[in-house]
Amino acid sequence: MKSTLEIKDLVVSVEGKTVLHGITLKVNTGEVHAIMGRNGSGKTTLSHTLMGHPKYKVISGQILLNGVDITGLSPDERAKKRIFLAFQYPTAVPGVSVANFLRTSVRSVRGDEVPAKEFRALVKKELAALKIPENFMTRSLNDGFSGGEKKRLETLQMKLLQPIFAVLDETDSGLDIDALKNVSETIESMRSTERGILLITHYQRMLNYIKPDHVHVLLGGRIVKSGGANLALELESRGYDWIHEANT
Amino acid sequence: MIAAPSVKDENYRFTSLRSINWNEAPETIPVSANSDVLPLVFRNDAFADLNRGYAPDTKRILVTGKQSGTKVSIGHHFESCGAIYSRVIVEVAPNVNVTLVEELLGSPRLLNQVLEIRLGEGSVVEWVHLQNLSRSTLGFLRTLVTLEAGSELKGIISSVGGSKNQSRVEVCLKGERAQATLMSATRGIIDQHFDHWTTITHDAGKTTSSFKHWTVMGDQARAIFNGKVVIPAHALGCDAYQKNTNLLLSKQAVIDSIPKLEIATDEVKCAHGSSISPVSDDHLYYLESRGIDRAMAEGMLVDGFTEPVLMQISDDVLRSQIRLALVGHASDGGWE
Ligand SMILES: Nc1ncnc2c1ncn2[C@@H]1O[C@H](COP(=O)(O)OP(=O)(O)OP(=O)(O)O)[C@@H](O)[C@H]1O
Ligand SMILES: [Mg+2]
Repeated sequence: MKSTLEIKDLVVSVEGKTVLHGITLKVNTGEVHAIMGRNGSGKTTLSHTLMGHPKYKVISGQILLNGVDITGLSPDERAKKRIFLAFQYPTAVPGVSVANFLRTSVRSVRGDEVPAKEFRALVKKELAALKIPENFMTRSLNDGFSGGEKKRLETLQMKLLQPIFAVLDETDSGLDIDALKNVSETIESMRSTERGILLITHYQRMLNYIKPDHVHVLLGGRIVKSGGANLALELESRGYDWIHEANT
Repeated sequence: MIAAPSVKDENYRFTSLRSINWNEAPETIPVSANSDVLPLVFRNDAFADLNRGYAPDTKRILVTGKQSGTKVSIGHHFESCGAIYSRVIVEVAPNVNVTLVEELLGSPRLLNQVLEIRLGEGSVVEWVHLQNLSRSTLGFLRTLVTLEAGSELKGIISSVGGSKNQSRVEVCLKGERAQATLMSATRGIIDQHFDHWTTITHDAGKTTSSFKHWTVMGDQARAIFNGKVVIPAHALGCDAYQKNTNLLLSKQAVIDSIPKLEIATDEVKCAHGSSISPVSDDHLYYLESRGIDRAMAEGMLVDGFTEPVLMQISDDVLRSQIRLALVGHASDGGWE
């Protein structure tokens, strides 16, 4: 079934400061969109707003999932509608084990109990594929994990939760060369006509593995340029100044 | 006759004693005859005096090399009955490595216990204490731990039961390089009352101690922590640390942390921290973003709050058992 995630003229403020100044973007299942842009341009703000972070206030505009406005939904309700965000900085949650977290999460999103045996088998397979040691399961969630380990665990969650729309906020940052390949190939393998992916990244390196259908440049809380996969290559060689100048 | 203390007595400022019948005949537990004098630190403590009066016999447990590397139970399951006065001395021989499991369970109306744990030179002791008495029990616990030179204590103290509890833990580092690392997890609901007094005395040089408390109070429950560190002038090169981390689950719940330092030497390193943390919004958001609803996420965070204490228990079975008492489920997520 074809689904759409549509962002319409979205204005968002955080801590009283307006950060997104009217973003419009439509992602269909089957598409991969890359969002690039300078530090502080609003990429993470956009991703948390899509997930329903309570600190990011929608001043105006809409987020529509298959035509239905979801701006009033809580983060867990959005997750149950199969929207997923891989965090740029995954939160460490001391005292909650990875196993407990994953099990509760999968159960919540699926809406029914996953038999313990099936869950273990499923998780073990993904752990091996993402080269995460099994003893991570009994550790506290993201607590004391290295940057790369956190990103691998975010990727594992995406695999377990099988989202319809996935927002990946700099999932490539912090990964070593082999892990970058591994994680990128995992994401690429999840590309499907049943899924839309929004990739936030600073570099071409991940896009070498996952060729985007569309590339957008975010500048000062606005999408100032959109294009195909070649736009990312152009940014890689030319930087952002030319776009900045064209917009001031 | 022992004079009943009043709330004017500093030690009972927080624990009203109105509900206690001072002349109640105790049902002493059968113990071997042994008339030990009470440790000096418990002089002028009415409950310790009562204990001496009513529990003149002392149960002695000797831990020798034969038990090295094992778990030794020093706890009790009390039947439902009236008042119990119990006195136990555990002596750990030098260089012995042992886990002491002290489980206080059951439903006496009142439990008055004096426990002494003596760590011989170079011994290594993991003391796992669980107070999971019935919610109608009045608990008055006095514990003295003494550490000879080079001995190491790891204490994990969990308190969930009892109605009104007053617990004094005195740790005395008597020999050089003795080390005490203590952690407590206290979880109270309804109108439970936990009055915890701890004193760490560094009586010899180069001794180290740390005492960290994790406390969760809900409903109208109340907890008080009086944490005292004493370092006399003769004890050089000591290191002491104390910290309270508190979580309040309702507006009526109360946690008071009262740190006290008596430090005669300025050569010593000593840190004293206290923090009151609500369930963090960032933690909640992360769990919610994974489909876990708010109530469930809060429950996971509250249950996880005391995990740092549980993680210190070396024995898996024992850890599960204490977790079950503290948060109501043995497993932390079903991977094992
Ligand atoms: N919670 C917050 N409190 C205050 N300011 C914030 C907050 N979140 C974002 N901002 C501000 O909003 C702007 C956009 O931040 P955002 O994190 O969205 O940028 P970004 O494009 O993701 O940057 P980067 O590439 O460095 O990750 C920045 O100026 C940032 O300081
Ligand atoms: Mg960002």
